[in-house]
Amino acid sequence: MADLRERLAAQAEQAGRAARGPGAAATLRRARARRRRVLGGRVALSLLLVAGLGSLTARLLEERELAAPPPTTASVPRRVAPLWTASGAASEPLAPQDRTLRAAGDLVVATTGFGGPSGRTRAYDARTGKLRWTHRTGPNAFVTAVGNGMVVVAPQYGPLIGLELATGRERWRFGLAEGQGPESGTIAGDTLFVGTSFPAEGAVGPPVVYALELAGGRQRWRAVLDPGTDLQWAGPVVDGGQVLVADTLSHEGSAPASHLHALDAGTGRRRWKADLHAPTQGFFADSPVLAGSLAYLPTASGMLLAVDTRSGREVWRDQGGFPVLAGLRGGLLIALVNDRLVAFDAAGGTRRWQTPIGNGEGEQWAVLDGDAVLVAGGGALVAVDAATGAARWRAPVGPAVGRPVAAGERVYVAARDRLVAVDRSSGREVWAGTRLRPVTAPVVTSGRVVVATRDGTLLGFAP
Amino acid sequence: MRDEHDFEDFYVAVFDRLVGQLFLVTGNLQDAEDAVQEALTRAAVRWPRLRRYRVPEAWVRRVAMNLASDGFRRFRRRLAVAVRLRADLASRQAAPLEVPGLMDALRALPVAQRKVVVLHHLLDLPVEEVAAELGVPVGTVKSRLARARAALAARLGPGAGAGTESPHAQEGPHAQEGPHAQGGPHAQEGAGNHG
Repeated sequence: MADLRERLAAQAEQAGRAARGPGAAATLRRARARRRRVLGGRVALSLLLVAGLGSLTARLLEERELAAPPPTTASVPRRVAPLWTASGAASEPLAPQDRTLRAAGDLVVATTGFGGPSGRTRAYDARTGKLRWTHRTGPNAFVTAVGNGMVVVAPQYGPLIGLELATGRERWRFGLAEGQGPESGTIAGDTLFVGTSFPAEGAVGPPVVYALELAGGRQRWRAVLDPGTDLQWAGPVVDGGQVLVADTLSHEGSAPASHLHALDAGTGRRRWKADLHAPTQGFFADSPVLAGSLAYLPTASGMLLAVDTRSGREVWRDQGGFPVLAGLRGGLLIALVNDRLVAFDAAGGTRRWQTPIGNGEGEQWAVLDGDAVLVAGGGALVAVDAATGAARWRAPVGPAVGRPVAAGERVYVAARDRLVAVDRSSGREVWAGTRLRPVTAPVVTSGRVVVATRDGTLLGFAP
Repeated sequence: MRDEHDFEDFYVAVFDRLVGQLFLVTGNLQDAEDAVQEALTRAAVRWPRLRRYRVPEAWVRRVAMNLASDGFRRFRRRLAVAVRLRADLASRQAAPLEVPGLMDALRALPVAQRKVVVLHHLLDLPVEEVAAELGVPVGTVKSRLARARAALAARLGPGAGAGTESPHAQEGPHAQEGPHAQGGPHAQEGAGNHG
């Protein structure tokens, strides 16, 4: 069978051959006519812009803006070979990436067979790469949750399957309705909380959140949310006796708005729901960040919202762009917003400092690492002081494909064609595994750094 | 006048190619032509600046993609000038030949998913560039791609949904899953655990 790209190219060529247009001359005539109309309107627009720029400039001056971080002196990193190699993992992860490769004790758990009918879950000894067990999970398998000696896996449309982590023995299955797909789950104590959506085209069935007994798969409760929405990818957040889940629109126009829902962890009863002011579809892989009585989360409309977790009341918002949350430290909520790392006063939302990070292009990740924030994206790994926003170092590692992971004296980041280990204090590249194409962020466990590559291979490196 | 000559060359170079790409999104040749034509008209208005772009074609494609939404038919009715231009066209050719199965599979996808398939799988744009081009979060692009590929795989076979960058290693004979109980747990069946 010809692959998808070849078929698309052949079809596009056929359509291009049949295309008929009015030609360049007619288009230019039309453009000239339109330009005359536009010029009249532009005068009025200019007046509006002049008025608006004054307030914008004043706002920018209120914030403390810091210089871009300096590049760390480049050094030639040591090229290293992996200690072990294991083939068979998924070469194309079913997003989000962290469903594909998970660390669990002395194991790494990976799924296989994306796009095919025979997806499996495999557990490898992280130290040696030896296959410990395999489970025939089903099409587009992914790991829903890991914890308390169990790993819960699922094909794209269920069922949820509970496996013993140590042996892979199947303990239970929990069936779902046709077309119902599980999102990520969260294990809290002896309970699995997992949201499900109906993601097929045209489906507007409401998402359902389940609380299942982790050991046996029995249902404790189910909560039905709003029609026309799908749940966000991130697993539910369980805190203070309630479960927080965010939704987004199934498709454009399928629901009037998206919400953050708070469910009672014991009964599933809805306590409140907060409007996310996002009448559009947008998926985020990160859960809301909780601190004190506030939850912070991004919205598909490009806002950062702070919501009171006791009532669902909106406390503050920032509308600067799609935020990527790093976390909270010292009363500051730190997030990437476009090409800047920004520290917000966590209680009130005032911007305390902001640091230019890169060109804002490409996917970016930000994680808190003690008193520093690590940002990967735009071709570099950058460390910034979490209290002041001052740049510590910048390592030109190349375009990242996942979040940086700090462990011991190193920070590890998967770049487009290599795995890089950087010194945590200086940003100096220490070693690099080259000629590989990672598809996930690395996981660090049992003294190994493990990464999955595009050709379906797992590689285990010494730290 | 040099600008206009440049634009004429540009128009000739990109029109057919862009219509081909947009056809995969709209599923309809007329809609694809209209979206590209409207985008090229907007490009002509801005051509003195646009011609200095590294890839002006990307700008036009982006505009055309934005126009090629579910609401495009409504939008098109307001384009009186476009309607007049269309009336000037000579007799139209028949719809393009269709690659067996492909267009039916694409038409079954939401327009938003068709766009990411074209940008990522036909034009080889990384997901972050697709996100920037469409103005949506990267996660949304990944979600749409995953759903689109799963749907295409169901209609066209696994090879169509598996991506194009590297073939997957084939597993052994695949296990048949047993029927699933609805709404509750049941005993394991057909599990393939290997120590």
